[in-house]
Amino acid sequence: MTEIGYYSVLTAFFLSGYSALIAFFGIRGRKGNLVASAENAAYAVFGFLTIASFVLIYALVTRDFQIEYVARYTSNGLPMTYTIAAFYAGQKGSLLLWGWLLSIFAAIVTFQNRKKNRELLPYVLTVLMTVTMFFTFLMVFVTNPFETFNYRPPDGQGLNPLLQNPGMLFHPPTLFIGYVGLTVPFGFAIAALITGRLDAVWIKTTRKWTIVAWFFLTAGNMLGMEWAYVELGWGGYWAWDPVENASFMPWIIATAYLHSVMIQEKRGMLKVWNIVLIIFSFLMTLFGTFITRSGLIASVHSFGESSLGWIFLIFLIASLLISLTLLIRRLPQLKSKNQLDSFLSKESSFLYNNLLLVGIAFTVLWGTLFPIISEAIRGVKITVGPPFFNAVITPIGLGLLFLMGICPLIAWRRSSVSNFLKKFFIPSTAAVAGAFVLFIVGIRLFYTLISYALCIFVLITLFFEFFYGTRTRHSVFKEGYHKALWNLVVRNKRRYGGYVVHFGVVLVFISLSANTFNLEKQITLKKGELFSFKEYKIRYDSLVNYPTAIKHVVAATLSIFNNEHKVAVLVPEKTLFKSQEQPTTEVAIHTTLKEDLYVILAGYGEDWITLKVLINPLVVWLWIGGVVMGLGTLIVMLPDRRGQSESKRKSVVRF
Amino acid sequence: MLEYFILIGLVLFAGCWILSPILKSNSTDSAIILKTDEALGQLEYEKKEAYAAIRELEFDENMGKISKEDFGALKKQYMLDAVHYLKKIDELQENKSKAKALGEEEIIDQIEKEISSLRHGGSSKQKDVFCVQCGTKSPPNRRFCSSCGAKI
Repeated sequence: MTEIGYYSVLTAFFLSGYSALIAFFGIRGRKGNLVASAENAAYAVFGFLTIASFVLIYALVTRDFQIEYVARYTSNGLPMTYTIAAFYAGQKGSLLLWGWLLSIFAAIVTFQNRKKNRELLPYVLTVLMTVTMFFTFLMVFVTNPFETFNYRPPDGQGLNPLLQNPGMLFHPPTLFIGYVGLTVPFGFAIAALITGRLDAVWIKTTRKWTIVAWFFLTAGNMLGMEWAYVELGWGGYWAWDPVENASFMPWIIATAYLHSVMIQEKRGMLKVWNIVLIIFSFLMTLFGTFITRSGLIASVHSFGESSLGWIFLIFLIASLLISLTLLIRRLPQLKSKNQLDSFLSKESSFLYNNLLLVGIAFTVLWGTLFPIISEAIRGVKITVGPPFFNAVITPIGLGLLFLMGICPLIAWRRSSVSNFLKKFFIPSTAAVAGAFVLFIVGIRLFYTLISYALCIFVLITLFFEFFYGTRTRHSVFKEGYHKALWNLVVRNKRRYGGYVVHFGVVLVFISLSANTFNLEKQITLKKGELFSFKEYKIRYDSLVNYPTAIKHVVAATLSIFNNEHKVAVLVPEKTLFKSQEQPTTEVAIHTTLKEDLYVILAGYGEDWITLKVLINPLVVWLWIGGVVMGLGTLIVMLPDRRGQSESKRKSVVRF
Repeated sequence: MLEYFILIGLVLFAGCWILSPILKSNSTDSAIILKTDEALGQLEYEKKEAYAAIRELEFDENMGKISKEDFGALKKQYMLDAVHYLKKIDELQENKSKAKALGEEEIIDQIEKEISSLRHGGSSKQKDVFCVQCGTKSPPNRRFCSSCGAKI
């Protein structure tokens, strides 16, 4: 059975190479039949990688420990969901998943464009198939996921306990889809550079694919944060770990692109910039993989040192050189159609927004690479931690928040100053008043105060945007208010969906800014003893100690009172997995809209336990903000009904 | 053993399928669409974008984000863009079917109509209105005259 998997990957390797070459020469020589053959080959690659993936899943489900990968990441006692999720628990499986997803996307792109973009498609196919070939190459020649032992071990090593969390089921695949999704815009960018067709068509297609990838990257990052929060047991969700940074950078660059592409659509400006953003968002996904696989920078996500990272680096540099060469060759054609008319216009505010976003990306890149750079220059590996990132990124983030509030107030090209000031007055007054109230209440931290003032500012401008829009529709088109609001959003999905995303971002900012109020205490309690922490009282009731099939659990039962009312029973645990030497902690969290009570069992004895208790305000708004961002993106992605009715009408109205 | 036969069968099948377009000698350029069709699609898209820009501009004006003078100037610019694309589309289509070329006035008229019908989701059948200042015919629900800029 395992040979089937291996030979399927091998076949996919040859077919992807064939498809890449034939598509390229087919379109060069304008031979339609060659292009058609390349397309069929792309579908076949998808087929063979699907077979390979199912073979691996089958081996996992049947726990075929003769396969090294299965033995390493599963065991007899492992629940079925995690056994299937072990597909991407290790390096080899994630490579297969990456290749498989890429082949799925390539098949979708080929199918979607079977009747349109025929000039571009062969080149897109060449790019996608080359990347697929790279991944299949790794599986065939470097790390074969179907490698077998010549004996059959009775049991496997089991899955790392930290990975045994529902987060494992969703976080890696969503992030992978986001990563792989960015390959498609990159393919279109390269195709556009080769053909010189750098206008509307590629924008439209890349924009759509980027928004899909962005959706999954956002979801993936959010799920990762949630997972870290509940599983890693240090009370936070983001630590500026190199791998977190690696998934954050493509996200932030894709965000920049999604904004600047609008300027190109509306005004024909920033063409070079947009292509550069697309290229770099793709390269960043490779870079992230390089970081995790090379073992160059220590990280919680490391797969251990392997030669794979360096192969990724070579591929990364080759992609960079090819893209930049193509770009430079096309530079003369990429002149802007227009120039900025005014500094007070949507274009210019988008431009500032892009500078800030790219500034963030650069800061994160610099901070991530700093250990390597410092080692190269001064011979000492200096790691920069959260203080560096927070110090640099906080002000930039606040700048972005400010722009998010300003942007809806101004029009394209030229906004009149008097109109702008009129619109600016209410939100800014409210923001200042809000900051004043918070100051009186006792919030004295400069950044926190600024952040909340800006959040109020953005929330009010967003509200007015919906309010005035609805009112305008109501008065101009004589629609009822509900219908007007509905039509406002449905007929301007990108604009108002974007505003919904912004609303989610504001919620995220509100939550992040509350981090400065986190409280933490460590306490040792005897049985029945009470411990007061702000308005909470925590009572230690009992300690239980029991083994399960794969682990040994020590769990403390705590009663939580809030102002004398019992609100919850929390059970923080310490578990010792049989396959692991280090105990892991399972935190217990009591969540309310106001704050999280986060309890870690730090130690225990005969009749005492040591608890680490944290009060993290407003954390739940981070997750709510993430969901709102997702919903907003879904609104943007909704298919355009107007486009269909328009094409129907086109047959009637002729120009 | 059986699985090997299945795999070999699949590989052979895929090979035949992949090579079949090449072996069919008469399917020459079916996979590559002619350049004019793509150019036409591109122009249609640009035209739609210009329409969308005009609609958005009108909406911004209604919401009071833009001054009257700027509105007039910008709208004229977008209109000229749309006229440019429409003319190009006509030029391209003329090669395919002999259609009569429209004058600039008529084109602007048609743009107004199209935008207005887009705004209403294509469902409205309201009558055109006339400007009190210069008498130019304008589509329904237009707040300003397209020719002299006066309020209707």
